[in-house]
Amino acid sequence: MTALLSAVDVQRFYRRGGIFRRGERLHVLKGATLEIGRGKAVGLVGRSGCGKSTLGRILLGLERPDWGSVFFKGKDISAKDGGEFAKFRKSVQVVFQNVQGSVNPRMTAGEIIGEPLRNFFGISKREAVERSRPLLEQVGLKGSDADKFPPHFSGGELQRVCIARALAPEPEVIVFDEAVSSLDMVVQARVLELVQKIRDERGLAFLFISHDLRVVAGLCDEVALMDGGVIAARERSVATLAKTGGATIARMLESLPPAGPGERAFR
Amino acid sequence: MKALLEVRGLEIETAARPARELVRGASFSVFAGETTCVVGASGSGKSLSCLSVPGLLPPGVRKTGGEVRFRGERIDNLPKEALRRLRGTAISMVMQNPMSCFDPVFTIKSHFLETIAAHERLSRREADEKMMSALAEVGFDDGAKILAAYPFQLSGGMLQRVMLAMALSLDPALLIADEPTSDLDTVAQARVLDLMDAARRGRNMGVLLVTHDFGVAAKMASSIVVMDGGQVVETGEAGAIFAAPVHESAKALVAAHEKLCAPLAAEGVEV
Repeated sequence: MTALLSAVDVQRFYRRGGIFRRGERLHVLKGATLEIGRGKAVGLVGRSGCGKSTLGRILLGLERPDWGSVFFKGKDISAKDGGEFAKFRKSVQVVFQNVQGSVNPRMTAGEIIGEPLRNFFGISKREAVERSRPLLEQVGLKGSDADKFPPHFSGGELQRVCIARALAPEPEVIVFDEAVSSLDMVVQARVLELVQKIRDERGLAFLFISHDLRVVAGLCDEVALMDGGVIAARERSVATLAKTGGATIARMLESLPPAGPGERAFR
Repeated sequence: MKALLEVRGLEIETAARPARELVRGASFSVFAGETTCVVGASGSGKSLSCLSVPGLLPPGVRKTGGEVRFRGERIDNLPKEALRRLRGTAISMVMQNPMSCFDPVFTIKSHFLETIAAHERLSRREADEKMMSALAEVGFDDGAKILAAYPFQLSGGMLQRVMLAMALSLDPALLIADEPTSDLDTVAQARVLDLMDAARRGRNMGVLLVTHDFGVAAKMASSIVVMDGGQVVETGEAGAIFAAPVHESAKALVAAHEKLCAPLAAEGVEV
């Protein structure tokens, strides 16, 4: 069976700064290959700056790889024409870490969630806002919240609005890029519960990008470790990854904060 | 034992009319050589309470009541200049976002020199030595290279270690750290926290650490202060709060942390 969404041997370079001379070239992805199966929750873990978000953006079609390709349902996305690409965009949605930065403060929650509905289903603005209300209820907010503006939501509530927006076009994959990292612990736990619920009810495929192994362990069917610009290891759980992932995963595990005072919890 | 820092009945309001109460009657203390963690959800007033200690409340917010005692003496009504001298030499701070605490057009060295020059008169050589030894303390073997670098050339974790080095260079008795590792990945976080803890032990320094992460509190705290809605709702020895939280919001925080740790433990990663 072909994977739903996959990156094959993807390479990506960036040029760093450099105002007066050409910046130094950074080889961020050095041939990364990652597959996301239908309905599978895949965790992508790694140190910050290892390129995991870049791979996420390439899988989303937000950035083009310098080498290698991204396949959606077996077809190269760079070969897709306008209509087909729109279908791909509808099927692959994203939730980012920076919630305030990923919503327009001048739009109501209803309009924010309604935007993809209008884009992909060609419905009127009013209808889109009405259809946003049940979505808001699904993510644990009230239908009447559709008329509120972003500054009136807390960080956790706004992240729910972003999740509702990602769910709106009925996608097949959602990429969560550090989606709970900037939330406080209680709110983070609630948002994770919501993500679990959506996973169980809808059978969506997830790519969950995080540097926090604790978050990924509870959520994912498979865990991939990114290290040195490639997917260094891929296993069914963090525990098995701990045995095969080498020094990087060992360091990530031992640096997790302990479960309680006086404990050295994770090894 | 007498507390190094003692905050009693702290009240903070917005300066705009009508005033909104942000912190109501918060009390907590820090002892020399110990770490007090202020834990709470976002918006609980934990950062404001700690910022008010060195008199660094942001504009638009003011302290309306309570007292702050450092080594037994009130510091919240000190004149500006006296408070400025106290900051850095006696009370140092490490902030949350290392990227926005450094000016990208200046090197690390010029940031560092500015801090030192504000408090001490040193020759160039003495200042260099001081900077190098402070950087060595936070694990940089190539201090000269770090000093020559611009902030954007260093990673978030490295910048946070530089900030810690700057805070420690003037040998403070009290270190206030406001969510120092919330923007870092877990490996960089552990590094910064370990260094902070080593400095605390080595210098018998008091640490006031603000965090929303009960895991960080578990690692660092001797005592924990739980804040909710601008009030201190629970104070106690770290082990006691983990074992038997009393207030609802303390329970919720502990439960959220346990839940976060549970899947890894269930996979048998725990030893």
